[in-house]
Amino acid sequence: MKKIININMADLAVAHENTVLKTTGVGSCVVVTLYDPVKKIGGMAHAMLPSKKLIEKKTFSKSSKKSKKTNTSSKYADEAIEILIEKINNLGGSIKNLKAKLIGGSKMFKILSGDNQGIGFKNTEAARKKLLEKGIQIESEDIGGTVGRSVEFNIKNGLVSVSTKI
Amino acid sequence: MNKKISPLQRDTLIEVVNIGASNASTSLSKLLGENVKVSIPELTLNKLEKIPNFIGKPEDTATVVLLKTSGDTPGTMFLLFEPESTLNITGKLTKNKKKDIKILDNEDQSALRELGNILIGSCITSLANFLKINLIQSVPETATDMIGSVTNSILANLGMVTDEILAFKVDMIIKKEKIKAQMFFLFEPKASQKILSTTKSLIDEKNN
Repeated sequence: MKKIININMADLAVAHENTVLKTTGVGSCVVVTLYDPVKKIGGMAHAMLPSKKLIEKKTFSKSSKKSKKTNTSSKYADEAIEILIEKINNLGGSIKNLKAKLIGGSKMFKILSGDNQGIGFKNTEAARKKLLEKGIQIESEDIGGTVGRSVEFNIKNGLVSVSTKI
Repeated sequence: MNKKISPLQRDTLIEVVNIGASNASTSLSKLLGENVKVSIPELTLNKLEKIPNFIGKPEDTATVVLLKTSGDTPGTMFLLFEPESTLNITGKLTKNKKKDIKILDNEDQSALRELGNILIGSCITSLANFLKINLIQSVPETATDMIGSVTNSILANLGMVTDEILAFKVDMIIKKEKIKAQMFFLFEPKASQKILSTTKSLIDEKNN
């Protein structure tokens, strides 16, 4: 029996065997898939913002005090990758075998980002930086543009399929 | 930033948004020459990642006309049309109805942007007049894609400044033309505090 796990925004999941991880409506968010081809264990995260550190600088001192108390969250690209690695490790996968794929990071509205590269770019940069830090190779990317994507990740063979509606 | 708002504050916010929405629907009615039914605003105060479900099914396609507001109450406002409504309304405005939202041309996009300008403009003007605050709107922009993709791009930008968002939804329906426009207001908590404090001082002023 094939099991399908639907991942919402700012959420993540890991699985093994006959499972398909799925997420729809990826805009400026970044989806990171990690796969261990030896043990056939994989995980997918749908992160919304680049990094908590980056945001704390911008917000006022009041709110940064608050966020220090909260634990790591899959809302942020860098923290989501750390949680994914940990969870894959718990299932028996090894960080040495992991291969990553990045999807998303598009720029839907010009007025929201102005002349800067926008949040999508920052998200992918944060994910790349974290993966480099952890020594995980990025196999392929489907990044940028002005289009929304849906992602399906088949754990059985490690295939990631990306579809668009427009 | 308090997580809950009192029933009185809730009613106040809904009433204020209702004033804006009524003005917007009047503009829509004048523009199209049709009767427009407008719903009572729905309100939610929730974490950023819970907002997409309030807006719609993430995998459905929709056309969004987005405007950013700055000034005393910063936030984002947008109009959302389902494919059928998009085609009906652009067809009515341009007199050249397309069969599919994938082939909307510059004229349609322009019509939608202007519609956004008119509706949200009249809404913002009435809000600014009522609350005696300073509100500036940006130029509109359209996007047609999955609701999830569009909304998470909007929310991510708000996410840089806040964890929680106050969101309003108003439906505007033209039954005869099968058009349903949904108007959304996303305010930063700072903006909603400002609205509450100004309405309170307005009421106090009247009582004295």
